[in-house]
Amino acid sequence: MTMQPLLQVKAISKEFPVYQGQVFKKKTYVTQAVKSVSFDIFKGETFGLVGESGCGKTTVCRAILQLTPLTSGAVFYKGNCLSGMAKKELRKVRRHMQIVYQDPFASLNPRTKVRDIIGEPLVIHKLTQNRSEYKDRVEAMMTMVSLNPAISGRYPHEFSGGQRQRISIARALTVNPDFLVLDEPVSSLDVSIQAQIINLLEEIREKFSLTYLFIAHDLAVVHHISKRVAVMYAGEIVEIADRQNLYGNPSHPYTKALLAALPIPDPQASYKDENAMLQGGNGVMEHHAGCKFYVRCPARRHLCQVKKPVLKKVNQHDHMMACHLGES
Amino acid sequence: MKNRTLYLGLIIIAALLVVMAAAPQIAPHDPEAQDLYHVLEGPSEKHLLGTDDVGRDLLSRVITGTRPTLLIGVLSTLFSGIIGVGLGLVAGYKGGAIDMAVMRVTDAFMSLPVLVVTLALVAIFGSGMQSVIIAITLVNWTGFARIVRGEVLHTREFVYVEAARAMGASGLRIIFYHLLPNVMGPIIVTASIAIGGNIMIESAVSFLGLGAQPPLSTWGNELRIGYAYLEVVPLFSIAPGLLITLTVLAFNFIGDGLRDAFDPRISQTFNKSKEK
Amino acid sequence: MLLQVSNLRTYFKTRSSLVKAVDDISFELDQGQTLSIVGESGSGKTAAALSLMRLIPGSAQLSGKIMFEDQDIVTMGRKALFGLRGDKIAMVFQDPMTALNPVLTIGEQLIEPYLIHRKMNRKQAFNLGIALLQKVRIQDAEKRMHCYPHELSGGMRQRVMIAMAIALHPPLIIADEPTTALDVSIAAELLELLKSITREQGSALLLITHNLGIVARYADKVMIMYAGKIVEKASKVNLYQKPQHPYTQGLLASVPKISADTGKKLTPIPGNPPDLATPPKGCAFYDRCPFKITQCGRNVPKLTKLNDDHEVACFAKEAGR
Repeated sequence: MTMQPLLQVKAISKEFPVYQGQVFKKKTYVTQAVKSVSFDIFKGETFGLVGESGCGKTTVCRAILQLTPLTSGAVFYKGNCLSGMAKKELRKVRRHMQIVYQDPFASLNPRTKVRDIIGEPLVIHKLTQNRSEYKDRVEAMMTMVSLNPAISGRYPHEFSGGQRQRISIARALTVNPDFLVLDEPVSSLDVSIQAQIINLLEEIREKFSLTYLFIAHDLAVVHHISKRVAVMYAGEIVEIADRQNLYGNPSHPYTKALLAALPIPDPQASYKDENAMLQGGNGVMEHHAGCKFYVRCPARRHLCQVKKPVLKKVNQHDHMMACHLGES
Repeated sequence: MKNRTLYLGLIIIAALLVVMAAAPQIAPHDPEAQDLYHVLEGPSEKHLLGTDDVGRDLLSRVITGTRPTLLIGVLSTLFSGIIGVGLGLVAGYKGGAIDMAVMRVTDAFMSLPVLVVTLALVAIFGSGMQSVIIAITLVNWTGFARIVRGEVLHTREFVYVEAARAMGASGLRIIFYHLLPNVMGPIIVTASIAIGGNIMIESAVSFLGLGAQPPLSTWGNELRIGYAYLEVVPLFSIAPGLLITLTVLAFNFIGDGLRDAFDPRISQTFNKSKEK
Repeated sequence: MLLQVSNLRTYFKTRSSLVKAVDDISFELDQGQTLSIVGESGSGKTAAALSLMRLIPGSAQLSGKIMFEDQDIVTMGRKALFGLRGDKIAMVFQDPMTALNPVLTIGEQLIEPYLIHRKMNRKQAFNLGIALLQKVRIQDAEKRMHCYPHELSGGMRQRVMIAMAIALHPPLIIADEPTTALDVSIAAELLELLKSITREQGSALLLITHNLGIVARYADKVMIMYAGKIVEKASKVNLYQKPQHPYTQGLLASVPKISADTGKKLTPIPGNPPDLATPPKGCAFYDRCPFKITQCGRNVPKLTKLNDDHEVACFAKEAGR
């Protein structure tokens, strides 16, 4: 693999300072939302990022899009470093990287008509010459996501959740991006609608040879759509592999637990790994040297409390995990 | 339903504007002419609303008072609105040090007493309407700034604002295209209330002889003077008082109507499709 | 029979229309059984659950019969109703963030059932409260009694909600999407807990969810709701192995499965659910149904028995497809 990745995330970290004190605020400690996360995404693939709420996956996607400053590390797009890029340059790059958010109710401006929501990127990047070109483009986008262009004069509240998510997708696609960040795009939708949106996303990826970063907490959805998958826990990647390996041969206890906890819509399904189920709350010990998963881990031992595991290969297939399991 | 109150408000204001423009023609008497045979009298055929303490016709004074009253009420609200909304938007959107600075300046201006500011301005520009308008503006913009900043702090957390940033939208575009329309509701409500408040402030200033100069009359002025004779000639203060109430009410009606008209979620409830 | 619901209707009046949130549903629940109501948002499953305890606004129209331990909840007096809530029927809500009062400690809220229904003194109740927290496997129970809700994680809060629900050993617990707001690993643990406690106490569980995976693991019987009506009712095994209603089949096909061949497209149900304010004349699923026949657009299908534990409301099915 000598191909250059489309997107490179290199050891990014994000800390949030915590202030205490009534009058004189003092920085007491920092919470590490994301700690030294690295991965590459290659052109045309769908990279899945899985984790539970608060694990930092949304911070990673905001960091990639330069919507939040990083504490350390850098993000490269087509070999260009985005961190610290001048505003004007960054705006040009932004045209190629778009995002679809989770909440179809909060991500659309309630005071704006659908046609102006979808057309906004065109206005910002000054891509259309006149009104009729603008209108054609917006209508083409609506048709592509199976919305009737005749209703382009309506406001977001007149649409259902699934339709609003289609609007979001159309908005992201108007400027012909190469790379799409999908931040839990289907997790607030009903099951029957969810499948519609997943299929739509796959269709347009093939049609426009797009590259996706797909963030979700639902392992089944990620399995369906992704080529490679990374699992995050408490701000760190604990396991990263291609789909077959991660689901066929999960190695990290956390990945195993997630898979064991996943409810399968078949009463006959066997839950093979009952032992992998997690006990205890989701307590993360902030201040100890070892593995962040220690408190909940069914396979913990003394080493885990004192030494932090690093991400390393477990087999020849680029399958990496951060766990002392298997070490002597 | 809402539209009916909007129209009612507009009709009242339109009527007041007509009165304002045609004041010299409608007023039955010269507002400054004294009729010393009829001082502090109740309504009569000659003086429909009665006369004031120096024998001037109250109806004529109220009619000619429309112009300065409305000018002061509307203009000071308009100017303070522009300053306050602008600073509130910037402070709320930028946050951090800029927010801190703007809010401290706001606090400082808030603590200024209107009368003292007016006195200072009168000393500089001389007494008159412009001094009053500037004084009220200087003190009143803070209300707008605080409310707008609070609303923006809340609104900017919506994902659509970040979505706009991710698209590459500039700060100005986000402020005017995404934030302003979504904070319009509270601005309009504040403004419609402020107009009434400002009319009353003017009366306080006039009372000290710093506002509109006598013999020019304003409603606030009439109300203040008439208050002293409330038991003798009730209409002296009640008439301008009712007019102030009516004006404030009219602006409130317009404010409510405009706010709803600006909000597609409310203005379209009748052909509303399925909500979750 | 613990609970027997017949022809339950819950209608909400809005300014311009009548929304038939629950439209003529009937079902039974035995002691100790777990019945699951499955449906998407707006299907009326939550309205149905709230109706069972009459926790619906006064303006709503409720009709039919809800026989619970030989009393009809629909016509019951207010006093008897208040005595029933929390004591005989308890509820676990979806969102543990808003279901607990933020200004009261966990302890104060937890002992409320004892104070209201058992007239205990605070000390007694407090000790029972600690035992309850231990039962839902919260560590340092005594210390936690003095915590405020914001000091606990979402999973812990939902444990507290469960503790409150089981406090008086109610014969029926209604859980409305109890784990939807939680992470997968925590959700699994909580459902296990809920299941084992209800089994131990012999309580029946009405589990409302949209997640077919949870149903497969925890329910005995399943009802599928669509647009305010029950479209299919069956034992769990029957439902998953021989789903009869096109909507049920569609739901099962829409869910991505880890075991499935990858690269294969999902089969979604086309279109959107109907607006309950302006329901279609015939079957509510008509527009989205791949098997529709002429009759479906004209009349509303009724639940018909296929065998002892399988009922379905579908004309196409009756006609033999």
